[in-house]
Amino acid sequence: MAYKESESYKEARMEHDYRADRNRWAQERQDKADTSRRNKNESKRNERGLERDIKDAFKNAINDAQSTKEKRQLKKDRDEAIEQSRERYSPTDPNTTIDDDSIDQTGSNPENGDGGSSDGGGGGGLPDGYEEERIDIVDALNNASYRWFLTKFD
Amino acid sequence: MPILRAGPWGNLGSPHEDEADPNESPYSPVNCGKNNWPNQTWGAIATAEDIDIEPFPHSSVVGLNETVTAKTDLGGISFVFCYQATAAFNIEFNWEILTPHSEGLPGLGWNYNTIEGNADSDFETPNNFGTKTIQLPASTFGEFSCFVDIGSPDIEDMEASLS
Repeated sequence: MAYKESESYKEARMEHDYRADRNRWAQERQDKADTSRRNKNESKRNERGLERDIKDAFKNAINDAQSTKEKRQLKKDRDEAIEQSRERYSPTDPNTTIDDDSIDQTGSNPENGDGGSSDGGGGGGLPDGYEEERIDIVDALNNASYRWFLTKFD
Repeated sequence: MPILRAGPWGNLGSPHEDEADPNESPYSPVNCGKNNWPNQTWGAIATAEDIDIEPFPHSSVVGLNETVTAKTDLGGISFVFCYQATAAFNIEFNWEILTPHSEGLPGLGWNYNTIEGNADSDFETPNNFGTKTIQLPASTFGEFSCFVDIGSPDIEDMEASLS
């Protein structure tokens, strides 16, 4: 036999259910906000760590520079690397997250193309055994340019 | 799609060679189309016969618009360079025979080969001066060469350049 509830009881139950749902929704919103904030904080930490690595590499390289031209190029490379790191950690696509990107840039020396270190405050890091190298390429307009590659010895 | 840099010198059989003495090396500079690399300016190996200069013939690395001279009766001037390009581009071969002789015909030729298998060439009897425009195809690695020479009973002065 079906249980028959009174109108007053039914209203009370619906009110209870509504409040429970509202509380759950509020909790879900809070959880999402917390997750988003944690991701933003992590992104900011990674960005700062990467910028610190880039600046450290620049300081080391500038001491070895032999000419004003070389120093200017180093400064340009440093600024470009920092700009790229900011774009890297400030995705314009709201659906893009840090986890969506598989490879991080590090503070490798942009002048000599030596591999950089993945530790030292930066987030993410490189896969074991890999290092970043700046390698010259011909771009789509026949201009000389460069790209960062992950490389590994056999 | 970007092309990984080869060079700094090379040829079709060996695209990654170090810079060397142009008088002895079988390789030539590898250029980025008609542009400089950050640490290597555009260059071609020019070889010319000049009776006043040793070795005979002598070779040197020259840039675009750099004039090469020769003083010869049966020789001339040649250029060779390698390139990488994502799009076709034009190279201009300029020449002038400064003291033309009425006997003997000059010759002019060019050819390119790419690692993808594209190739083209031409040979003609040129005027005493002129410019030849050659379109080089996009290639991950290509090699271009050209020459102008004379066959004269006397020593003649001539000059040539790439642009």
